[in-house]
Amino acid sequence: MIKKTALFALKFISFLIVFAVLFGIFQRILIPKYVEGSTISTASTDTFYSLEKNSIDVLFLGPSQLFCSVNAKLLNEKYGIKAFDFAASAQNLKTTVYYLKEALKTQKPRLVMVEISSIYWEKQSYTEEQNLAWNYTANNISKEKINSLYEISDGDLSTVFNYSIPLIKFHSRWGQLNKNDFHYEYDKSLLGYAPIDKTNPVSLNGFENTEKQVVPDYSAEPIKELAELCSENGVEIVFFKSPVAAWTKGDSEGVKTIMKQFDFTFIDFNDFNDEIGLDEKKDFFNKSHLNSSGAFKFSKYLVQFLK
Amino acid sequence: MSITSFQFLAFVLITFIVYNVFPQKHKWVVLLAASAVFYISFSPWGILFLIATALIAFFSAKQIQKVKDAESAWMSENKRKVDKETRKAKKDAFKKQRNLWVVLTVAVSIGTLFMCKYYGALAGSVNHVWGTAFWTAENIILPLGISYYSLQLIGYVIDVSRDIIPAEKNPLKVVLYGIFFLSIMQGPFNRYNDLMPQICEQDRPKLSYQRLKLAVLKIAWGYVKKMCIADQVGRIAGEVFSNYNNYSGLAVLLGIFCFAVQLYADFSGYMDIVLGIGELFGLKLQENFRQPFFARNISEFWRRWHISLGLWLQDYVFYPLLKSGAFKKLGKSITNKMGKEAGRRIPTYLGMLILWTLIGTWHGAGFNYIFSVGLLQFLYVFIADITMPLSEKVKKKLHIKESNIFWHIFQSLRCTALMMFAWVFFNSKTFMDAVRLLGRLFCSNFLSLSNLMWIFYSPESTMNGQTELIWLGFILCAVIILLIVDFCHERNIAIRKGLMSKIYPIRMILYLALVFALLVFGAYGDDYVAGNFIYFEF
Repeated sequence: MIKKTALFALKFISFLIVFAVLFGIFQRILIPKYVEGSTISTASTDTFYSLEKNSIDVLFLGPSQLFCSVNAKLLNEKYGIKAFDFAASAQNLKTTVYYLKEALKTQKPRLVMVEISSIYWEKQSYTEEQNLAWNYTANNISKEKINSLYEISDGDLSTVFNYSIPLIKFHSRWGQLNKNDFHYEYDKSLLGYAPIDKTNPVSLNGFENTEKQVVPDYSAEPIKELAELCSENGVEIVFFKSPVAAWTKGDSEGVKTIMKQFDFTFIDFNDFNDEIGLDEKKDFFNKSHLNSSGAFKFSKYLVQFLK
Repeated sequence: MSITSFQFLAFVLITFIVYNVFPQKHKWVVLLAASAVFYISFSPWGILFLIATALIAFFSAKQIQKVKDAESAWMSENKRKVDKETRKAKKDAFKKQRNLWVVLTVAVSIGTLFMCKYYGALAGSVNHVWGTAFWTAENIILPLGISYYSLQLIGYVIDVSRDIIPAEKNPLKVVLYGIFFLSIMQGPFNRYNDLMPQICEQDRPKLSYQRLKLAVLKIAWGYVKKMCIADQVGRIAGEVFSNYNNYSGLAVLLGIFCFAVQLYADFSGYMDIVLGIGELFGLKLQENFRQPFFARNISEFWRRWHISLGLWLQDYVFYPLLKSGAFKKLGKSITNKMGKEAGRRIPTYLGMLILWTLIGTWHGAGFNYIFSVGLLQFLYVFIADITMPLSEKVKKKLHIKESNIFWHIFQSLRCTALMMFAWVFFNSKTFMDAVRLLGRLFCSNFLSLSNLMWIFYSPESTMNGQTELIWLGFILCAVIILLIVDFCHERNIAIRKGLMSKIYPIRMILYLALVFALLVFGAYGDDYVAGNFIYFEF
């Protein structure tokens, strides 16, 4: 009887092991891969997980405005600043909290730089399917990921389930698989940076709009959380706004007000467009993102704040 | 609750546990309660129709039994006392009484079926054509499974009348027979003397681990057929049939082919699920499919497809019709005028025409159903029958042996092609839509691959964005797998038992294949609308 039970247990355990391995393989193949152009969160996340422990000095967090404008490769190779862009498209500040928690598990940066483009975004955008896919699909399952999904979806269990076990959400991609799903090319030395070589002229005149915005509470909360986390871990935190054409003085004032209230460091690099040397005809991909030329200039300018 | 939902699986699990806990004598009560819960989850008011029909059947059968008992008593008392004429007259009188109750049951069941399922469409058509304003019965509900339980209960009463079974004494058992959750949605059509003795059996052996594994395997395979094959290839069929004006040539052919695969996998998948669940409860339900695409001709096809419906109509409509006085009279009259052969054949053909019209009508009120699985099938069988002497001559001249494998393959492919043609009408919204879709087959260069690829490239297509090679490969693999399984069954190879006897690593591969087939290819989740089983609509 004991022999039979032991044999049954052995069979069951071996089944579970093989099942888990195959599950991981199928999940990895079937989830969408964001590895090109202006959406590279899969590549960025994969690169992050491949880094050695405690190898990042300056951790950048935020949405696509971040990974388009901060050339982490340049900072590393030319200026010796061990930087990393741990970002994803349409990342909101609540998700940034999760990304910081995830990063602090294996890294101990001296400085965290948080790009705050998402501060005025509508809350319902947090749970748009594409935004969730960009921000959560490639990340390893963890308690922090599940909690983040739970909070961001106001307790919607199907959202938590779909993105914690993305095979369930994305299994229907079997009919759309391409070579990227099995092996994609991404230069890991980019360290989360997404160079965009296209140019679309913009106008920076919009920045002069002084109509003051008010930072909503749902954005203020995660800002405080980010600062607390950094404080607990002995890490300096700086909030910043990358230079874009779709930002105004009024937006800036709103953020400055709340940062002053919390006594957090905030740098709006839109105030320094001239010093950075951005050309509205050559350095932008669109109103919200720099191209590689603009990122080069901005990253060079950033060095003085990072050293 | 859909059979592909977690709620249904939870329902089966709970029923299974309660069923095994209950004593043997009262297990049928568990099935009755579970069936009622299942039915109400779909059709809360419809259950009243079902119960009423079942009680009328119970009452009619009871009355028939009384008449039979009276007849037996009279015969044993008076058989030697009266002459043959008197005995025959008395027998006829008793028969008339029995038939009265049969007619009542048929009238109530068919009448309710007609009102709920057909009257609205008929009244609507008359109003449309003649400009009248007949009531179209929009508020009348369509009780779940009315096409199934109505005929089953009629069959029960007729079997009592024919002395095949005694009348049931417990009305709840007749209700259970009508409402049984494993067959209420899409069949199979059960016979009272097949199903109820199994359900009420007192000495059923306990469920063994081996039987559990075999049953679960059958259920899993059923789900794979429904969710991985039927629902997936159904996307292509649905796209082509809904937007046939966008497609031509090979694309239309692919759509037609995919519908055939979808229909088979959907219906037979459902059957595997319910038969497997039946096995869990120690019940052997009627098989409804026997490798239909291996049939050599249309008659054989219908002995392998939806077997229980064919058998029911054969036993309760076709044979009684042919044996009826009216048909015998007709046969005699034709024999006198046109000879013995004609006197034998014409009534048979007339009976078949009525049979096939009923089969078509059973599927739905639309002409496309009556035509596709009714009149057209009759035409196929009729033409096959009258050309049989000629085809035998041709076979002889070409030295074709019936046992030749290639000849069998040719016959099966021919039969499949004929059914695929018929199913175009079955799946189209209207008869003219089917005609137009078939016309699209020959609109442009038939063999052009770009026509085929347009299903995946057309901006309006629901398949846009899907990778064509993956999908074509998937369809091919699905068909091959279905054929392999059917081939094994055709050769009486017990696949499940054979696989269960293999060493554990092989069994593990099988389990993992089934699980991952469902996880990866299953039509579930946000990207899919839960697909009803096709025959659920009937």
